[in-house]
Amino acid sequence: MPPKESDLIFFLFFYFLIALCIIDATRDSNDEYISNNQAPNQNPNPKIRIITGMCHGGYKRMIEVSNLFHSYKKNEDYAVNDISFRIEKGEIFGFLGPSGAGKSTTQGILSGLLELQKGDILIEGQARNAYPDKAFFNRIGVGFERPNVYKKLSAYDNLKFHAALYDVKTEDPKILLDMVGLGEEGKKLAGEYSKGMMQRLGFARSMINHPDIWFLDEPTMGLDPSTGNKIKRIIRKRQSEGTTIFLTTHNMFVADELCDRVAFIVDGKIVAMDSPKNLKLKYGQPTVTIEYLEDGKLKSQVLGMKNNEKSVLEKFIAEHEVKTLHSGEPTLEEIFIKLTGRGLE
Amino acid sequence: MKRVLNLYKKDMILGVKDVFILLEIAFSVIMMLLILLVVPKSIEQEDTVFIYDKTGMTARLGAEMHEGNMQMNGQIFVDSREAVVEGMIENKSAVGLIIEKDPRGKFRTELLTQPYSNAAQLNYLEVVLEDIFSVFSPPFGAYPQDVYRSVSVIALQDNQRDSIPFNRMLLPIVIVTMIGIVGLFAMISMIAQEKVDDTIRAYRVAPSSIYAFIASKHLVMLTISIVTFSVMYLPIIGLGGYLPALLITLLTVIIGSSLGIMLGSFYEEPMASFGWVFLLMLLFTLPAISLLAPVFSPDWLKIIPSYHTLFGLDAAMFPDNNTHIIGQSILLLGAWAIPLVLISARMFRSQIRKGGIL
Repeated sequence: MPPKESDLIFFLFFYFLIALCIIDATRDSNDEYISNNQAPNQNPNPKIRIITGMCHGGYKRMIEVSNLFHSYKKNEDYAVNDISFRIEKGEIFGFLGPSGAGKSTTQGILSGLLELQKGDILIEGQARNAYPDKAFFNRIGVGFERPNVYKKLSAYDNLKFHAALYDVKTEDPKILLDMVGLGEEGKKLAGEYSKGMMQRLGFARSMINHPDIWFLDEPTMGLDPSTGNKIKRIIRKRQSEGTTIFLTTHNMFVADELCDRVAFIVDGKIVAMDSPKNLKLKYGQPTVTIEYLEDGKLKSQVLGMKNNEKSVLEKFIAEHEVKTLHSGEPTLEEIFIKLTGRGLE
Repeated sequence: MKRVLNLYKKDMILGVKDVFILLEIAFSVIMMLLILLVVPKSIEQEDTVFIYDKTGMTARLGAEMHEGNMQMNGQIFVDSREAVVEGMIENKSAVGLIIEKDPRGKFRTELLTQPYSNAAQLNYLEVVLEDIFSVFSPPFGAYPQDVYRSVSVIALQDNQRDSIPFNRMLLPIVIVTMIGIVGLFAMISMIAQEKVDDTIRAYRVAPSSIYAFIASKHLVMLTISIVTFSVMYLPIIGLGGYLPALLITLLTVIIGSSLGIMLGSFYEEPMASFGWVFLLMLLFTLPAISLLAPVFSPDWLKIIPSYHTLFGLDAAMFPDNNTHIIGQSILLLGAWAIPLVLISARMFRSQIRKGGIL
C-alpha cells in the first residue's frame, strides 16, 4: 500500500525535529566546554573571561576567585556581587554570613552546581569552565547542610553507590562509616537514622573520593558537642593531609576554631577577610574585667587595654582593692556585628 | 556504561523498596485476571423480538424454515399486543413486532422499540421490513431472483474481527493505559523523589552526567514495562506477535517516560503536575475510540502517538492481513521517541542547571 501524503508529512516533521536536536546538542557542547588551553581571544563565550597561566606569589594557590557575580534572575539583582578571594592549598577558608548573604550561592558556583555567569575562577592557576568537567568533580567533595541521602538504602549502600560514580580511587565505605561513628549502624536504612546521623552520613559521603578540594556547608550543625568535635577533628586531619577546605557557616565559634582565614559576606559582598586572630586584633577591643571590693561589697569593672587606656587601668588597680583580673578578647561574632551592623541568624 | 548500571541498580532497589514497581506488577496481574475471567468474551446481545402476528404469516414461514433446518433464534410468538409489551418490559433489549392486514389485504406492521433504541437502526429496520413485506405483498413484491447478486463486497483486510473475543480486543487499550500512561506518572514520581530528598544535588557534584541519570530512569521504566507487558500479554494472547507488540509497547513507554521527564523538570511534587498528567492521559486514551470504532479515524488523531501504539498492538496481536501496520507503527513511534528522548534530557539538564533546586 503506498504511503499516504499525511504519513509522509509526519515523517518529515519528526526527522526535522531529530535534526534540530542533533544540531542543538553539537552547538551546546561547543558553548559550555571551553578548553583550558584555549587562548583568551578564542573564547566563544563572551560572558566569561578565561585566565590561563601559572599562579604567582611564590606559593601554590588552590582557588582564586575574581570579580564573581551571580544573579538568579539574570538581571542586575545580584545574589553574589563582585567578590574576589583566594584560597591557598591546604588552607581552611571560612565563608561567614547570615542566611541569604550569598554563602551557598558562592559555594554552588565554586562546586559547579550553579553556572559561572560572570567572573573568573582559577583552580591551581587553570581557568575553570562555566560548568566544570568530570576531572574537576573527581577531585572535589561537597558536604551539604541538608542531609540528602537515599533513605531507602543503607548507609553502606549509599556510600557504595556514590563511590561507583567516581573514576578515581575511593575510600572503603566501612572505614568512612567508622570514622564518623556510624560503623555499627552501617547496615541500617538511612531513613531510620536521626537527623544528626544522616548529617554524618552526608559528611562521610563527601570524603568518598579523597577530595583535595572540600566544600563543607555547616558541617557541625545539629550535632551534639561530642560528635561535633569528632567532625572537627576529621576536618583538621584532612587539612593536615593537604586538603583545601572551603567552609560555609554562620557559626562563628566553629569558624574561629577551624579556619585559617575567614571572609565576612553580607548582601552578596565581602566586607572583611583575614585570619580570625587578625580580625579580632584589627577591629576588636581587648578588655580586662576587674573584680574589686568597695564598701565591703564585691563589684566588677570592664576596662579597655589599648595603649591610651593602659594608664586608666593602672590607676584603677592602684586605687581599688582588686580581687581578680580577667583579660578578654572579642568574639568573631562581635567583630561581625561591629563591621556589618547585623547579627548572624 | 558502568555508571548507568550503578544508577540502574540503585533505581531498581529504590523502586522495589518504594513499592511502586511491585504495585505496577500487581496491577498488571489483576488486569490480566480481570480480562481473562471477568470481562465477557462477547458483548453481542441475544436479539429477541416478540411477535404478535395476526396474519399467521411469520409463524408459517418460521415452520417452513425450521423444516429446512434454518434457525430462527430469538423470535417469540405471543398472542396479544399486551404480551408483546410485557415481554419487552421484562427483556430490556427486546423489540416488538405486530403484523396485521388492513381491509384491502395489505400487510401493516408496527414496530415497538425500547426508549434508547438508535434512530439509525430503527430506520434500517423500517427499510428491511418494507423490503420483506414488499416481497410478500404484490404489486411491489416478487423481486427478481438475482436482485442481490448485483452487489459485490471486497474487503481490503480479511475480516476476522467478529471471531476475536471482546476481552482480548481490550488488551491494546489496557496496555497503553497501564504501561504507557502509568509509566509517565512513575517517571515524574521517581524524579520528584530525587528532588524532594535533594539527592540529585549530591549526584550533580559527582563526575557522572545528567544523561546517565536519565538513561537509568528510562531503563527502569523499560524493565518494569517488559515484566508488566509479559504478565498481561502471555496469558491472554500467548507468544503470537509477542516481540513486535513488545517493541511497540517499549517505544510507547519511552515516549511516556520522556514526557514524564519534561514534566518532572518543572515540578518538585508529582501531584503538582497532575493537571498535565490528566490531560496527557485523556489525549493518549482518545485514539482508543478509533480502535473500537474504526469509522472514527480523523487525520489529527494520528498525531497522537498512542494511536499508532493501539493499531500496532492490535495488528501484532490479531494478524489480519495487516502486518504493514506493525512496521508503520514502529517507525512512527520511533520517530516520536528519538526527538522526545533528546529534548527531554536537554530540558531536564537545563532546568536543573538554572539553579532551581539549589
